[in-house]
Amino acid sequence: MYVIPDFGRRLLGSAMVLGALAGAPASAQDVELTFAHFLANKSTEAPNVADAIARFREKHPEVELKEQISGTDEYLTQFNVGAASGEVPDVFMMNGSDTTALVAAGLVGAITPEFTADPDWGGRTPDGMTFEFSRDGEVYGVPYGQIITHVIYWNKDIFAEAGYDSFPATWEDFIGAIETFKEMGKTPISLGNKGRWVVVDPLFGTLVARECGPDFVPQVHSGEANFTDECHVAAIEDFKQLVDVGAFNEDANSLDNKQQRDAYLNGDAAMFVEGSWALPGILDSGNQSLIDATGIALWPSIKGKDENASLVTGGAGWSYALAARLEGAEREAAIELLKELSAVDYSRSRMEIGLLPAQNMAGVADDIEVQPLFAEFVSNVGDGTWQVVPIIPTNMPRSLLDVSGEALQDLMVGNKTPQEVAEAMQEDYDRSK
Amino acid sequence: MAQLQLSEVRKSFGAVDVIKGVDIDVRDGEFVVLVGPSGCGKSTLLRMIAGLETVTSGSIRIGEREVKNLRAKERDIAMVFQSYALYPHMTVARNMGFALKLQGIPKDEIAKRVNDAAAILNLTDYLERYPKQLSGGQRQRVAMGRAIVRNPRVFLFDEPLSNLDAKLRVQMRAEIKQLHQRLGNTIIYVTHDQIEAMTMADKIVILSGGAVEQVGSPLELYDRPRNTFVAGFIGSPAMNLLEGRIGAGGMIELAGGGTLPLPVDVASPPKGGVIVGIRPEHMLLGGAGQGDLPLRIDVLEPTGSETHVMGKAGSVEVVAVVRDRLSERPGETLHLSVDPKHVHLFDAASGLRIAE
Amino acid sequence: MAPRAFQPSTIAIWLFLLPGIVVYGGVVLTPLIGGFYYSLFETKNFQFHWAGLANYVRLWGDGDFWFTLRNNFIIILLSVIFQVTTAFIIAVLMNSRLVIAPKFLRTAIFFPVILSPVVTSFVWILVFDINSGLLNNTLEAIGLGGLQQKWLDDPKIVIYSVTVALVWQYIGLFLVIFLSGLSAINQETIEAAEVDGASTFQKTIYVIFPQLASTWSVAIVLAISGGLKIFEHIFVMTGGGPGLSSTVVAQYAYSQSFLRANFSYGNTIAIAIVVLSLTLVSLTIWAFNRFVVKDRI
Ligand SMILES: Nc1ncnc2c1ncn2[C@@H]1O[C@H](COP(=O)(O)OP(=O)(O)O)[C@@H](O)[C@H]1O
Ligand SMILES: [Mg+2]
Repeated sequence: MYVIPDFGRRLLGSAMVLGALAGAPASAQDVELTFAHFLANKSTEAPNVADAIARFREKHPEVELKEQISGTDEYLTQFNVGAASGEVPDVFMMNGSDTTALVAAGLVGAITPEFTADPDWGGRTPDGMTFEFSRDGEVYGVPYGQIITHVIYWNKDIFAEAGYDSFPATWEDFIGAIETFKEMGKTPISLGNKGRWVVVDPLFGTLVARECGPDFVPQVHSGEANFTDECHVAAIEDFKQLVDVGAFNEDANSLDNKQQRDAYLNGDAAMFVEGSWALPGILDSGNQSLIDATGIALWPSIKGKDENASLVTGGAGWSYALAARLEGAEREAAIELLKELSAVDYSRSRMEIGLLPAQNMAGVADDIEVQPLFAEFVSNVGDGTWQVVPIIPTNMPRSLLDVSGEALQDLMVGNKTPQEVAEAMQEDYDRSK
Repeated sequence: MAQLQLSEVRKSFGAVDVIKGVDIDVRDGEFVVLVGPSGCGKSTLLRMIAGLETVTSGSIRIGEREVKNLRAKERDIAMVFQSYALYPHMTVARNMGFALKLQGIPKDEIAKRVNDAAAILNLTDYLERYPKQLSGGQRQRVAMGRAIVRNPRVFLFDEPLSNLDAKLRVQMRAEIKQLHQRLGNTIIYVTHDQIEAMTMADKIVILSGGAVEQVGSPLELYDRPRNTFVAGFIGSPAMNLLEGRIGAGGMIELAGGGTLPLPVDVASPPKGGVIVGIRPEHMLLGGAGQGDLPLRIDVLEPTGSETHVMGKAGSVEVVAVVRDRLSERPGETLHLSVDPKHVHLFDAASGLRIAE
Repeated sequence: MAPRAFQPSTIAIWLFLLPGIVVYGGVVLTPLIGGFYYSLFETKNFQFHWAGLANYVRLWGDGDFWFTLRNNFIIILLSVIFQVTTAFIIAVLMNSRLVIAPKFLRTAIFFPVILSPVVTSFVWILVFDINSGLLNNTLEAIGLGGLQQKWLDDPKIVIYSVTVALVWQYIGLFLVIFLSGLSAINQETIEAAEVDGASTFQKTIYVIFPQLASTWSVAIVLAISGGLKIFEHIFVMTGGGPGLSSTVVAQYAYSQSFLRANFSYGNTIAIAIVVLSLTLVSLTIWAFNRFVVKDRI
């Protein structure tokens, strides 16, 4: 548990004071910094982070940097318990959905002066990228990378077999394709929703943008929009239509997101829907014919709302942030670490493995050789083919993700109606906002 | 009829032969005691009769029926266990009536039979108690009561008195014997205590190492033990067994010194070594009998009616029981003799009795 | 009264008790008291605001809580019927020379108990897989394809599917409990019943069962407390889904505390579980003493 190492650290601190009193030599490193994160081990991002940390250590030998590494779920648990008892690590990963709470609790420190003053830092970070981590004009977190949370990875060969030379342009066409795939004995959309977030974020969020327009999230924040609004319920109904026409495999809620990708990679499914982070998994699969056959797309235009047809949810989700209590040399060291975790080198190494960086890379990454699929990503995001709108869960209180995940699963198995799902979300939002 | 017949019965646990071919005939109504040292296979044999242990080979017949392959419940036997094996969660009355209840006998009939048995066993006042509320002797009686309410063809007892104190044991011995005389059922009774065997049995079966050593009435076994094992096992204090050889002049010369007469019934004595058996109570003082057995006294135990003398003849321990009051003291030597009709002679090599 | 010389001083008694009190207080009481304390607050933005009994009022009217609790009761009931009872029957058979290789059997049945819940859950995921799982394949192979189910995806049966995995894993625990209970009763009473004419069934009902009454109460208490604690298996197999359908009360507390960052409500649920556990366990023990054991053994 997080509280325990922290408690231990304090014990250690007092032990060191005692040591100093006893005349023991002071440590050669003046500043001690803890950095808690979950980007290690099996994580795709692990090498980028490790490299950035190595660079930081080299540049700042005076700082003793201690990493506290855990798995994602563990991290959440430890971080929550710590935050609830008023303790956060010096530098940590902050989820967008916790920004409001951490700011209100005075646990996360604003980095606005350093961030905006530095043209190579704030200057290279598009405004939209700090949306999740900013409150009242102050910036609290540095986005760890850019993610697009909705991407349809589709198998062009299977679509061609079904008589589609390109990705369907309208929702009706899309539903027609799904029915054809079913007749062919293929799973139309491979889904592994045991963790519940796959439906909430990659599948459902962009449907909301399509039905409610680009400003749904700010409107909810300002109270102009509700989850029970007609357009939001319509989005739930769109999703339910997919369920009802049998777009998903029957065991969708007992598989995980790795299994949903595997079914696609095996050629059993015509599509799967996940975020941009799923791309390296395809590129590294070693299945070249499948890589070549794979296209990327978004939900087609729904109900003639063509003006919304290029909207897709995206942002960062997670950021690197520092504790509000830091000051002096500690804070300086923490700022340096945040910079290293968003420096050009860090962003380049993300691109090299097929992940989007949070920083503007024009002019500094032209020499990177990228796979065609990823190039398509970069250009879609860069030239506005895809218009990125805020991710819903990471801009809402933490609880909404779990509540919507559960409610949408209930919808899938017929235990809740679209209206009831909307009400469950609104009720939670009202309680937690 | 409830005679019981065991022929060539064998039992092995894996590679270990525990019962090595036992033949026993029990007449209807006979009280047979199986006696032998601990570990000789008595319980195993009894449990085979009861149907609690499978029979490796051989035959067991109760009445006319081969029961070897029947289950315990089909054999119409009752058994009293060493631990009593009372059902701790049942009252005395329910313990005693359990078997009847299983047979589907009506409640009032059960109550009547339980009451009758309780009256015989002096348990009437305890019928509603649980076993843990009874003394050892009372539990013992409940265990017997449980057997007698069923009026089975054969009663089996496995060391039923060994958990009781000495006084109670003597009392229960008598009670069981009375019970047998009153009910007349066939009883097989296992004990390691030869006094129980001698006092209770119509017929004793002496078992050793899983084989029968001798079968006979108590006095037969006492008077004519078939071998040195039986000779040493029956009687208390145990028979003195002394090594010797037949000397010139028809006397037995003892290895430890001294001479004893040949028994009357041995006409042609063997040439090799012999073992002479003399019961302590048959030792005579001085020249009252024949022969001369000098005994250096170690201990004298006067009991009032008689005196137990323990000492050494040469290097061999010898016990004598005499009626007289002795004036000798430990360390002094006593000369003993014997009446030839009380001398038992065994072959030194085989241990078997030498008799014509 | 005991002789004075053997009576330790009051101080000495407390000194000897101290380590136990400290450990018990630290390990058991502190979190309980702390949990109750936090349940009296409302959590918002990682901060606590006094809320009195508001969380308990919410809990009382929280349909999701009662639904998850219902799932626990299904698990407990099925555990008592299939796990405890089956373990009892196997133990009795193993004790009665009717079973060959009892030692091997005991080890084989106990083996799953030592496996981690995560490992066994993955094994069961493979069994329940709708396309290539052992269960559906076997049904197909023996011509019962019509009985195939979406074991982990059908909200009506998922709770029973996960219970099968639980029952399977912990049957060995109850087997060992019953075997040790059996070894403590006088085997000659069982043989006496056999000689008295009891069938195997009658021996079990009239002689073995009553003598194992206290073992039964221990087993049922374990099944109840285990059934209320259950979490990992279901979390791994279904994540509590689909929807709420296989969520148990411990997972509900977990998700309130950690996924919904509502520690106070999570603590409220945890306290409710503790109170419920204690109540059910006391009731069980009382009922056994009152109706089964009485004062006779
Ligand atoms: N179930 C068994 N397995 C193996 N050996 C046994 C078993 N039961 C008894 N024995 C062995 O058989 C021998 C006779 O045992 P038992 O009949 O109980 O002797 P007794 O009742 O004469 O004292 C002993 O050596 C004992 O160790
Ligand atoms: Mg014995």
